[in-house]
Amino acid sequence: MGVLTKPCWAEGSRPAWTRRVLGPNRAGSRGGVLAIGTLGEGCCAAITPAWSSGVNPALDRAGGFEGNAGAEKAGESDARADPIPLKDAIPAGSSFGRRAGSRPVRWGIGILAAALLLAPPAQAQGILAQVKARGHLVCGVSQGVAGFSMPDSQGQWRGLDVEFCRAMAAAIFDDPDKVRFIPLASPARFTAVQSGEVDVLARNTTWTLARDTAAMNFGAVNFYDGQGFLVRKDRNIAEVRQLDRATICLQQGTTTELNLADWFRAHGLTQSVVTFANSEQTLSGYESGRCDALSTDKSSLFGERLKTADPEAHVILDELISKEPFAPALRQGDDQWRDIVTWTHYAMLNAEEAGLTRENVEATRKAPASPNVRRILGLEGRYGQDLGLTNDWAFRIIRHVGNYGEVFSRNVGEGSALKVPRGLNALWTQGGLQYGPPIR
Amino acid sequence: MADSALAPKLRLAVQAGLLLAVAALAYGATTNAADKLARQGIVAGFGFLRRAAGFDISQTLIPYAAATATYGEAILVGLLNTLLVASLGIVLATILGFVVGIARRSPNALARGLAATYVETLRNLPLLLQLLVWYVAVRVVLPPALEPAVFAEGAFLTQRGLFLPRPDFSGTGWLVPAAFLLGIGATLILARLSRRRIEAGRTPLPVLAAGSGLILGLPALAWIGLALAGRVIPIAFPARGPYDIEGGLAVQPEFAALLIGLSTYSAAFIAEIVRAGLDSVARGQEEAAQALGLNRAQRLRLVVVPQAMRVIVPPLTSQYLSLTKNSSLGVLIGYPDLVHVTMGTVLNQTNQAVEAVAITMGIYLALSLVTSVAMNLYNRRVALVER
Repeated sequence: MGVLTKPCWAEGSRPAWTRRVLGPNRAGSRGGVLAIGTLGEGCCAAITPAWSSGVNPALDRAGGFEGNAGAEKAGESDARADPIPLKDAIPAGSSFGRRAGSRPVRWGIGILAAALLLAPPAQAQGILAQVKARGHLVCGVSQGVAGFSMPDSQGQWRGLDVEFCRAMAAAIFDDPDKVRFIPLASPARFTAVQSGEVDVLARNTTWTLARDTAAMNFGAVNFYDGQGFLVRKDRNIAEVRQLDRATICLQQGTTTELNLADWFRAHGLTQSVVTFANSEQTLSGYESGRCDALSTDKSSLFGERLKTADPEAHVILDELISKEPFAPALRQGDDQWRDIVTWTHYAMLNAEEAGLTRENVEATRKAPASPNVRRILGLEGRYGQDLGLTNDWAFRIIRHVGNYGEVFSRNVGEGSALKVPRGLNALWTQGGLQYGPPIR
Repeated sequence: MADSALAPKLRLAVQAGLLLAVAALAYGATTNAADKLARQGIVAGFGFLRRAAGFDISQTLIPYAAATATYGEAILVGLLNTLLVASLGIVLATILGFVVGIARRSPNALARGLAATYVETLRNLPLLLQLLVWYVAVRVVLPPALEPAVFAEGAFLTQRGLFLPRPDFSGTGWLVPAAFLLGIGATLILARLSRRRIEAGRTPLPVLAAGSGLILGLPALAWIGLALAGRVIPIAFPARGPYDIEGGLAVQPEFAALLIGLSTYSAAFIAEIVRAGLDSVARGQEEAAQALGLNRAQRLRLVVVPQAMRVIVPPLTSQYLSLTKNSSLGVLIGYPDLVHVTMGTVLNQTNQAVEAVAITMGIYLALSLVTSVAMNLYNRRVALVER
């Protein structure tokens, strides 16, 4: 060991040599007798936090990493490093190394390696510290919902939910690109949050009580939606009631399935459903004539309609049959992280209310007009530090991403192809529901 | 090598050590998972199976109402859908597979060529692709919902399915399906009697004619008898509704596409197994049968195929198992099978991921083991016949 192949202290990755240093050191302290659980836990815990606090003497000896920050860009390196090469991790001269020579011990090591693979990341530490140590945010998004999260022609993720994650990255790292997006299917999304695979799930996900109590928390509602219907224009359907005895295409594993059954039952109507695993198949089912209507969140219907061969031949009914407040989800039990998720959205709302935009925020910061603006921009108080961030956290969000109105318009509103009306998502001052508690 | 007396003991010790290590790994993984679940506040357990499901399923073989049904019942509906498509698929794939496999050894060059083309095309394209093609074909070729193709009184075919009249066998009507089963049973007994006669050197019974007469005639008799007794079996005829053909017996396009896709795909593999089985029977057997004056059909049925079965059955079992498991690909075309309901909807509505996966895996394992045991029993029988 001690061959520092990458003598860098990158924010973005877990350098290979730190693993080599930490692995045996940690193992050695246990005298080479290892239980599966403890190594799995210990190693993972050691990998993530130990170096940043400098408590590990081996690391200090290994050389200064202070000056090398950022030598490796976060975006270029893959945080999910290969499984730890245990053979490399064993110092040649140590007792552990000698034991490793005999066959049973080699088997033991193989099994331990398997156990390492099986063990989820340790969660002893706060998510914010983990994110900072990793150098980027891991954000769960959809596999492609226009306006919310979808890769563009250059492979860049775009959308309202994507920009929410970028805003969080801007607040934490002052760099909106320090996010890794993980596209998740509906059925996989909550497991990804609960298991810690993603730090935050911004995936047009409805906030419900059952989900809130299922080992998850939700941030602030970043989009108020409801379940709507897409129907063929030539059927002359004006309200949902007329869909009695119709066949409706749905995507499975969503609240849509439950709402639809509830609503038709409550109104004494009957319907047939055909459910598909993803939105492409659902749309294809509707378009081919298998169903009379397609039902999903109204915000998505605008995008689905654009995807049909002739968007003019389809209409979206005005009526909504459910409340679908979309909010980012996070793992339960980390209050600091919850605050950051919640207040990232509120910062964007406060910015819009105060008239701060991506364009004017730098100029305004030089000559802030009001105490409110001074507080938002971090010139007064220590609100950012109390969140675990820097005081200019909200300024970073506005400068890199913009205020909520800008993000809305750019992704789903007037400035986009979807042209979703602002409606419930207008600021409370304009008759909507978006209300940011004061930053003070 | 060094000490030959010690070697077996050493080997035993090594094996025991390995076993222990595997057990320790399993134990570690289980406790680790339980610990992590507890730490994340996820309530483990199967209590959710008794909670109300609240979602609809497009094809239900048992009564299922979204309002009152539980998650457990929803999973049962999914399981029955899997069983339906898998069992029908096995029957169709076996018939088609034997026909194609025998055709590959046909003296007719056209039949041989067609069979070879069939096998090489279908077994070399991914099943998923074939399913999507069948599903799209079903929807594109067939007429829209309200412009049905009517090919018989009360039978409609549209892109939303095949709609047929459905007799209602509730009440005294159960006599009709019972008569049908009785007919099958009588035919089986007849076949056995016929075989005994052949073995005793006497002429065989007309099993085919008598059997089809029994299987079709008995239910017909029951039907007519009930009608004469004043208990006419009601028939629900499909009719046009505002959006769709309604009522009657509906064969959904998702089911049809999955059944066709699964059975044609598996039949290609079964055909190869059958061909290998036929080739395994010594040439002299067929020549001897010919010398006895048997025609080609009789040679196949009485001499070649029975001997080929001992080679055919073991790999055939594997095909049945893969067909059952492949039926889960129906998820991609919206067929509500076990995986679709359990892994898609139930898992997502309840967040009980570990339990949902465990249930699905447990059921598939059980299905496969049952199929396997049944086929092994059958294999024992055909293996004995040869000796």
